[in-house]
Amino acid sequence: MEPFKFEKVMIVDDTTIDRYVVSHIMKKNDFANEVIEYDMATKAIAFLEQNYDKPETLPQVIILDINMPEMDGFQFLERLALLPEYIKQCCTVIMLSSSLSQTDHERAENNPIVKKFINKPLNKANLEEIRSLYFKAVGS
Amino acid sequence: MEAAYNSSKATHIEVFLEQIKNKSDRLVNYFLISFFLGGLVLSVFYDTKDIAVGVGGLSLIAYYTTKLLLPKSDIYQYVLSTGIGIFMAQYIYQMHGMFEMHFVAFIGSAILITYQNWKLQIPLVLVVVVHHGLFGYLQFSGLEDIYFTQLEYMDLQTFIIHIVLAAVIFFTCGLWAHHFKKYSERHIEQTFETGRLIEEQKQKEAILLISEDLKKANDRLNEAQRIASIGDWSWDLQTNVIYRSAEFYRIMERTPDEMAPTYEAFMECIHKDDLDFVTATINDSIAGQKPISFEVRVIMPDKSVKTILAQGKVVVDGKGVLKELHGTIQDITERKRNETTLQRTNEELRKSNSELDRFVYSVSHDLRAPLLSMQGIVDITEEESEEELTREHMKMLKGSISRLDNFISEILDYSRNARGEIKVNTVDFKNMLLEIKNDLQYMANDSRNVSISLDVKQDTPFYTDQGRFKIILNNLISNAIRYHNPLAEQSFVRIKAHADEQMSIIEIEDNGIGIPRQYQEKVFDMFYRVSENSSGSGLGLYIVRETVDKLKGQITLESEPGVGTKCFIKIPNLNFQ
Repeated sequence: MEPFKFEKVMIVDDTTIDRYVVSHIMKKNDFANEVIEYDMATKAIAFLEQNYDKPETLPQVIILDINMPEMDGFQFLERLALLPEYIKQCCTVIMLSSSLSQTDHERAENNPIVKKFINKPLNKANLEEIRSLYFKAVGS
Repeated sequence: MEAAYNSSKATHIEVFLEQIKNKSDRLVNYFLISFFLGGLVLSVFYDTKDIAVGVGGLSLIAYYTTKLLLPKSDIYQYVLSTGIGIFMAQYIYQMHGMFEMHFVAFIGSAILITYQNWKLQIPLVLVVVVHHGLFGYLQFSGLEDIYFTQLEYMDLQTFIIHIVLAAVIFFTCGLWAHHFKKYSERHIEQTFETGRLIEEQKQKEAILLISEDLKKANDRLNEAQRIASIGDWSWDLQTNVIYRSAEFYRIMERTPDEMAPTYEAFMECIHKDDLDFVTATINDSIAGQKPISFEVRVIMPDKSVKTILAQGKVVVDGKGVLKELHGTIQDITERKRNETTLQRTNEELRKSNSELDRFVYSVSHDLRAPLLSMQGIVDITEEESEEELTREHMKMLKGSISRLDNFISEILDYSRNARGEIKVNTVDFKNMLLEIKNDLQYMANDSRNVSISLDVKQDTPFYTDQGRFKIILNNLISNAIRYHNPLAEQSFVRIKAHADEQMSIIEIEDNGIGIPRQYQEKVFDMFYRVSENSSGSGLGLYIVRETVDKLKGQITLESEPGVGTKCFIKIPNLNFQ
C-alpha cells in the first residue's frame, strides 16, 4: 500500500540549508505534493492570516523553527492561536530546532498547538511519526 | 542613722545597768542574810532572840516581797536601804546602845554604792535620822529599855560631830555612787563612739571601693561604646530631657553645649529627606508602645552626612503609662558604604553572570545550528550516494559532527550546573531512566549492540534537582555505552537504582573497556582523557562530579581494564514538601 501523501506542507525556517534538507527528504520520501518554504515567520503567518478561510490552500503540516529573526517560532504560535479553531486542528504543527534549552523544550511541549518537538536534523523516521500524529489530530 | 545610733547606745547603757543591778542583787543576798545571822549572833549577849528573828525577819520579808512583787521597779532597792537602817537600829538595841554598832549604818551606806545610785542613800539617812532623834531623845528622857548609846551623857557638841561625820559618809558614798554611774556611762559611750567611728570608716572605705569599681565600669562602658561606635540615650517623656552618652555626642560630632538635651535638637540634625519617616516612626513607637529601630542620615556640623542606626525600647510604668524611651545609636556609615559597594558589585556580578549565561547559550546555539545543518546534508548524502567511498567518508564526517555536538552540549551542561540555582522537584526514576535509554539508543550506530537493562526500586517520592540529576545519569550511561568493549560477545549496561527517604543509590555497571587503575583518580578532572583516541571531550565526568557535589552526593568508581566499570552514586533525598 502506498503511504499517505500530504497535499501541502509548510516549512518555516530562516536557514536555507535546513529548509533544503527538510524539503529534500520529504520529496525523496513522497511525503507531500507541495512543499512551501518561508524564510521568515512573518511571511508565513501573513499567508495563513490571508488564507484561513480557504481550507484548500492551507498546509496540513507546518514545520516550525524556533530561532528566527524578527519573529521567532513562539511568537508565530501566538499569532496562530488567534486564528479560528479549525485551522489549529487541521494543521499539524511540528517544532524542529537545534535548541538545547530546557525552557524551549518545555514551552514547545506545553503549547497545545504544537504536536511534537523534534531535534534537528529531520530524518526519515520522523516523517512516519508526523504522519501518525496528523491522523491522531484529525481523528481519522 | 543618728537616731538609730542613739537608741542603740541607750540600749547598751540599759543592758550595762541591768548587769550591775543583777550583780549587786546577788551580793546583797549575802549581805542581807549575813545581817540577819549577825542579829542572831548578837542575841547571845543580852538574850534578844525575839528581836533578832522578829525585826530582822520582817526586814528580810519586806525586801524579798517587794522584789518579788515589783521585779521591774527599783523600789526594792529603797526597801533594802531602809532595811539596812533598821538592821543598824536593831543591832544598837541588841547590844544595848553599844556605840560601835552605829558603824553598821556606814557599812550599809558603802554596800549601797554598788547600785551606782546616790538616791539609795536617802532612805538610810532618813531611818538613821529618825532613829537617832527618836531613840536619843527617848533614852535621855530616861525611858527604860531604850538603848541608843552606852554613854551616860552625850553633849550637843558630840552629837553634832556625830551627825556631821555621818552626813559626810553618806554624802561621800552617794557621790561615789553617782560618779561610778557617770563614769560607766561615759565609758560605754566612748566604747560605743569608737565602734561607731570604726564602722563609719569601714563604710567610707567600702563606698570608696564601690565608687572606684563604678568608675572603672563606667570607663569600660565608655571605651566599649567608643570601639563599637555605639552611643546610648534615654529620653524622659515627662520632662522631654534626653540623656546622651559621650559616644553619642562624639558620633554626632557635637558637644553637649552645641546640642541641647531635647528631642527637637536631635531632629534638627536629621537629613531633611528622612525627617518625615523618622517623625512617623517615633510617633508610631510612642503611640503603640513598641520598640523602635531605624536607619537615618544625619548631618554633621561640617555638612557631611553620616548614617546611623537608632534602636530603642519603651519603658512603661505599673499603670501602663509610657515613661521613657531609651536605646542606642550606632554609626553605620562605613557599613552602609560597604553595603552599597557590595550591592553594586553583586549587581555587576549578576549582570555579567547572566551575560555569560546568554553568551554561552547563544554561542552553543550558534555553533550547533550550522553543525546540525551540516549533519542534515551529510545524512542525505550518506543515504543517497551511490559511491561506497563517499558513504564511508560521510560516516566519518558524522562521527566528527557528533563529537563536536556532544562537546557543545557538555559546555552547556557545565555552565548550567555551575551557575544555576538548585531547583528541587520530584524524580520518577523509572521514567527518567527509560527516557535516557531511549535518547541514547540513537546515540551511535554501534550502540545497538549494547543491551541496557533497568532495575528500579523506588518506594518513596524522591526530591532533587531533576535537571542536574539527569545530567549525571545521562553522562554516566552514555559513557558506559560509548566505551563498550567491541570484543565482547554481548555488551551490556546494567542500571540499578534504589531510592528511600534518605538516599538514592544508583549503580551503573558495564562490561566495557574499563579504566586502567592509574587513571581512575584522574578521570573526574577537567579535560582529562584516558587516551588520545577516546572520542570524548574530557568534560563529561568532570561535569558529573561537579553536579554530584552540587546535589551534595557522592560518586565512586570501580574499574578493571577489559572487564568493565562500576559507578556508584549516592544522592540525598531533599524531602521538601
